[in-house]
Amino acid sequence: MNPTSRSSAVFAGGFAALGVVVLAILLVVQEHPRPLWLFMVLALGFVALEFSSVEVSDRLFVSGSIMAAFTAAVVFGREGAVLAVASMATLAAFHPDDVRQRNWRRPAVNLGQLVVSAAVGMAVFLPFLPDGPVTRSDLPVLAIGAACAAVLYDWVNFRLVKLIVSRLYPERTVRPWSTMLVNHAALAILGAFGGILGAAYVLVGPVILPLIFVTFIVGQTGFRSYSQLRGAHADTIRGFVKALEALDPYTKGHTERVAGFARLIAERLGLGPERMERLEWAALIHDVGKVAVPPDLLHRPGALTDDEHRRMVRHMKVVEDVLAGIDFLVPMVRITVEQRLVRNGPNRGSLDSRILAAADDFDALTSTRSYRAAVTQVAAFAELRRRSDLFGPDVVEALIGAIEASGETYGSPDEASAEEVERLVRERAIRA
Amino acid sequence: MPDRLRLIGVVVAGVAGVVTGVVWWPGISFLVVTVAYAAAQALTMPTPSRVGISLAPAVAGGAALVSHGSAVLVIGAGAASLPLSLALVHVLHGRRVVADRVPAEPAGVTVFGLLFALAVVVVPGMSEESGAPTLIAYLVAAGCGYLATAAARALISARGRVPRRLRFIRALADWPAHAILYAVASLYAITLPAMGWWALLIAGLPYGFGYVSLLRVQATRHTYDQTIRALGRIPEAGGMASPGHVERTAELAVRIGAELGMGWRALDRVEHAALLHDVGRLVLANPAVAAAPHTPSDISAWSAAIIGEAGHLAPIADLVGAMHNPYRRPGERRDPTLARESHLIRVVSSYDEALAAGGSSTEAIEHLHRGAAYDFDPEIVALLRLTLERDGAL
Repeated sequence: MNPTSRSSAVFAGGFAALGVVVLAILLVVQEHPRPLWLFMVLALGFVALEFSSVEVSDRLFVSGSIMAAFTAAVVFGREGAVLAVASMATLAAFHPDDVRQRNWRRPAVNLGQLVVSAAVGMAVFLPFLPDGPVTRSDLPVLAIGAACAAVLYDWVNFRLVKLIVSRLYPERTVRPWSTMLVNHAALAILGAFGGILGAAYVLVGPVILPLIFVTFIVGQTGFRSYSQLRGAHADTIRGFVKALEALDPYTKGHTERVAGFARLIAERLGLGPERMERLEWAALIHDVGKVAVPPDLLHRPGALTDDEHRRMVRHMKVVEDVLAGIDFLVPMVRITVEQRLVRNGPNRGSLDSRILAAADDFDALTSTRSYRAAVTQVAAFAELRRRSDLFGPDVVEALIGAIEASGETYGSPDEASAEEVERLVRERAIRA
Repeated sequence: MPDRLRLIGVVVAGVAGVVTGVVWWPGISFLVVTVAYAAAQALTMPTPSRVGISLAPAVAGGAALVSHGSAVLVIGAGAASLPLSLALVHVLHGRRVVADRVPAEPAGVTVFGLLFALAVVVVPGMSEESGAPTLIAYLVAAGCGYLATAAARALISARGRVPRRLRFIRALADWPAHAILYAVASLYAITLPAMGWWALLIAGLPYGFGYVSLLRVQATRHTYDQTIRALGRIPEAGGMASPGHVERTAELAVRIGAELGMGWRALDRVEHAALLHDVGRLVLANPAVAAAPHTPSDISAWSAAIIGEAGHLAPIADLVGAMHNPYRRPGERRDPTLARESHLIRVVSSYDEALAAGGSSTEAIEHLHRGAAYDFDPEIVALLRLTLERDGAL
């Protein structure tokens, strides 16, 4: 075992020990949850929800386990709430995948993280729980208390996750707490609802459990279908674009590379994740229209005349109109259409279209085509700088800066190789 | 169902409902439930079939439990609210939504109300409390109400040539919306006595959760269908396939698939495979390929290769790839390894191609009959003929 591995094992072991100690203390100071069947039902619900967070909106993943936690807290009352929820959290530390792969480090850290955050969250909730049996008048206090405690539960959990990631997975990043306000609000609502649900169980009886189960299972299934459909949708368009590209060996991988360059520019310019995703989609579809362009026009060596260019755009537009029939792709089609106008003169097109045009041109310059060889990266940078008035100096410098920072090199390795490939391409074209 | 008949039905039901309320349930609760029904009809719950349903089942469920199974309240107030609620629906959503909802949803609510009222009378002790027997009877009645809604939607629908079986299958796909509505209504009714207005929250959050999930599924499904349709049309836009061929093939293949007894998942596969079965023609954009001889089997193989690039579409790629395999070889009854969906698309696509080549419907179907020895499944050809005869095309 190397020193890094040993230190991370010690760290994970320490976390697990912390969880066990907290649990042991709770076993002494709190009452055991009764009845056992109810504890098992709620614990199973907690574990199932913890393992199956759902995407309720674009990139917003929410797990309903916090709801089950606060339901249990109200049901088991002041005397048993913290122990009951911490025990439920213990079960959730052991994900079946980790157990199957005999990966004990993750369950170890999860144990500490989940038990500690659950214990802190529930300890804060204790003062909001009534001394005696729950009554209708306790409901507002329970709801507010559960919402506040849920936020604290979430915050402690977040801090622990951040600590764990920084020690065990330094290559990964955790989004700042302040950028996940919607997630925190969703958890606060779920916590409050869990508290009210617990009160409903106490006031009405077990009959509400199957009804809640039905509605949540239907909702959960719906969100799962939503996630799968989103994935399938993206997969379909990507697969289709990939297949189209494969028709021409010279443009194979072009759209993926353009998407990559567009992402580099967008990151450098500090654009948000949604805008970056839109740019990536626009890059992926920007050449689909070429399937409708007659081959003699598409593969014609040298620059196109104005008339030829107009003909090509007309053919591409037919396919782009078809793609614009997909609601989701409308903004992306607009960017791809605009990016063609960018090259007509300065200040044509939005920032998105200029980013796409710059990324497209850089890849075209650094790739060998049937009629010319790739230029060197230095020459491509010089050419992009020459076109700064079209793409905007900020876009060009962002691309150059990002590529230089990445250490990657595109295009021919040197002038001599570029000239040699150019000679071969020309000879091949003459033979053809 | 003609609009005039629908209008007469709504007015008669409304009058009957008001009379029922005045005679058997005079009081404020009847009026409250009637108004609740009217408001609920104007609201729409998204459904997987994209037709949508109103919140009337939730009002019916709540009223049934709160009144301990009064059919008079559930059905009478529902009927009394119809003229007002449908006027609201007409103004807010248009005539087509009215046609989708009447009489399917009132039929479902009526079946639910009657069965639950019957259970309350027949099962001893059920009228006293909301225990497990009440809940079981409630869920059974709700299930029957859902089936009645689907059946009524299939029997009387505004959608022209779509076969009843297909309409029924599509309506059945709406079960999640029915489940959520009946479940949240019972949650509300059961928690109301002990929790007062908090019961609204207890029912409201699961309803919101379910509503958003169905909304997301419906919107994403819509986009996904649009995408498949658009991708299927690209060869046509590029001038490599005949205009409208894939869409006509998909529409007819789904209708015949329903007649063959296929479930909604199989019908989805048929629709997507039919829409994408010609994408292989994009390969013809390469002049070298276009110049070389190629067969319909080659097109299917290219289509399958393109479709297969999207991993989750592998089943569709398999169907398209096998499309041009003969349904039987000499000495065989039929090739057991071939999916029926593949045969179906092959038959319908060949029929449409024969039509596009300038033949009449009769000539196109005769072409299929001639190939029925090995190429075309005779049962599917017979069903195609039947469908065309029903449409008056033959």
